Amino acid sequence: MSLANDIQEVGRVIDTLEEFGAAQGISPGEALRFGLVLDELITNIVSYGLVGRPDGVITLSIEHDEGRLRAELADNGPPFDPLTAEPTEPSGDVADRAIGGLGLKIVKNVLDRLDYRRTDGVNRITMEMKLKAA
Amino acid sequence: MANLPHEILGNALVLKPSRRIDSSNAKAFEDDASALVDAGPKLVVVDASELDYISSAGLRVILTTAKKAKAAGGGLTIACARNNVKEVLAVSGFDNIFGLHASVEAAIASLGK
Repeated sequence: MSLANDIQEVGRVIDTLEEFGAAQGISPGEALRFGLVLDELITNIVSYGLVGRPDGVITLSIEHDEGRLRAELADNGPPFDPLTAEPTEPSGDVADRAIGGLGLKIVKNVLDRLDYRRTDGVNRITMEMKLKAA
Repeated sequence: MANLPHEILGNALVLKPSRRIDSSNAKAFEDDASALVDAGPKLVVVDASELDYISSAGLRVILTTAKKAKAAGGGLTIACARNNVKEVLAVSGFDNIFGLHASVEAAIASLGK
């Protein structure tokens, strides 16, 4: 699917994933866990990489096979590798510090595999999550 | 979440977000919660019993709501988190920071102390 460079698209992505999960017999909880990863990564792209970029293009594909969910997320923003991104400098009180870099922490907690490559001016993040047995 | 479900129990404001707090609706939660804290009790419980999903954007608006409540002399805690929401609260440490209670009643009691 093709996404507009707009944070409102995140809601549509999670809705789509819920429908996809239901059609594929994936438990709603597992579909939402994967949706959480996509939420965090798309939010990063829209809020940082593609901010102020009317030519911003994001594409997403999702597949399910052999007990795994896989996705590829691509965008034409500046190079950004979530694997090597440094967490933001901790500051503020204990709760502020807990939230710094939290999005990527959530992503790494959920995923079994996360790869990044940059080809032809496009960031491509591929990811995989093993589904828990029902 | 144009109208955030809520109720006032004694001296506490109980917020009852349903389904999801994701990046696309976190701002609506923040605005509604802020108006409710302005107008009502400053002891706030987030009742997560109907919540299936929270992202880091959702945690961020819970944090801003907590700061607002605290600045007004109150506080915030969380009750009845399930499944994915419980997992995200644990990964972030928010369960320890704000407290996670098995019931709304226990959450209110903890704020009164």
